[in-house]
Amino acid sequence: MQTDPLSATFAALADPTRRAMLARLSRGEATVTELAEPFDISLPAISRHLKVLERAGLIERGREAQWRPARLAAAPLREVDGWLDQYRRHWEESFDRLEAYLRELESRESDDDDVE
Amino acid sequence: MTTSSSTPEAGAALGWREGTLVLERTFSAPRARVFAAWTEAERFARWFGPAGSRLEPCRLDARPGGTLHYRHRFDDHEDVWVRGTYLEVRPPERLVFTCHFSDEGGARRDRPGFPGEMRIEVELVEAGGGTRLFIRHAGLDADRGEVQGWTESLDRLAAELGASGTPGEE
Repeated sequence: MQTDPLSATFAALADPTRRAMLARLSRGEATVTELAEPFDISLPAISRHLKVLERAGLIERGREAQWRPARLAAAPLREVDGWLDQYRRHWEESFDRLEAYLRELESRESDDDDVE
Repeated sequence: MTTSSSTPEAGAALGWREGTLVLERTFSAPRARVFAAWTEAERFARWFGPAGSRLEPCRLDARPGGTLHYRHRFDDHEDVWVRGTYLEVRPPERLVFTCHFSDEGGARRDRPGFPGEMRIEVELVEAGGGTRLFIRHAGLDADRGEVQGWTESLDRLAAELGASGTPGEE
């Protein structure tokens, strides 16, 4: 399933387990067993995740059975702040809804003399 | 009561640094009304969360040591339970609470790749007849610092590519 590289990157990073594995590898090479350690999922599932990351060019197999982060264009990855974006979006959309709710309250109570 | 020692500076609009997201928004309502929207369960459930989501149920006890517990329901996403504890409740100007992923019973349920305990600080500042709201949402590094490690990795990759043609070292 070869898509353009950026889409492959997004797809690879869309999974929190894979993001966590990538972050672990940023601290040094690791074996499949070491990468699997924090998670409660099977080794074959871990291997599948690694394959997705490898196909996206984010990691490569090093000497022996170690995995390590691969060299690749950092610019697209810098754009993929999706992890934080979801929180930013959460607040921005919440504020939109809060604003609408406050306006609704104000128009409902426009006859009252509220002093706050 | 004077302003707190951490009065947000003007222009602290939006940013992220070391796992803390900082946002600001101005509302035309007075502070007490905005504060009530954060601290009364029925009101909170009317706006908290992205468009199309709802809090069902939502239990909220806005006193120091009080509990926040809700199920966040989405159209395109599985339900998420969240539980939190209020640390500071100072109407109409300051609210601080922690929260973490949870379940129906209120137990803590961490998820790999997601934050553990988060801390949300809300400051309300009078602005004309309206309210300027500041949020500091901290703890946005996942358990064991995965996101921190990840962004450090990106910085290193960028630095390596800056030295074009020079193989980096690991």
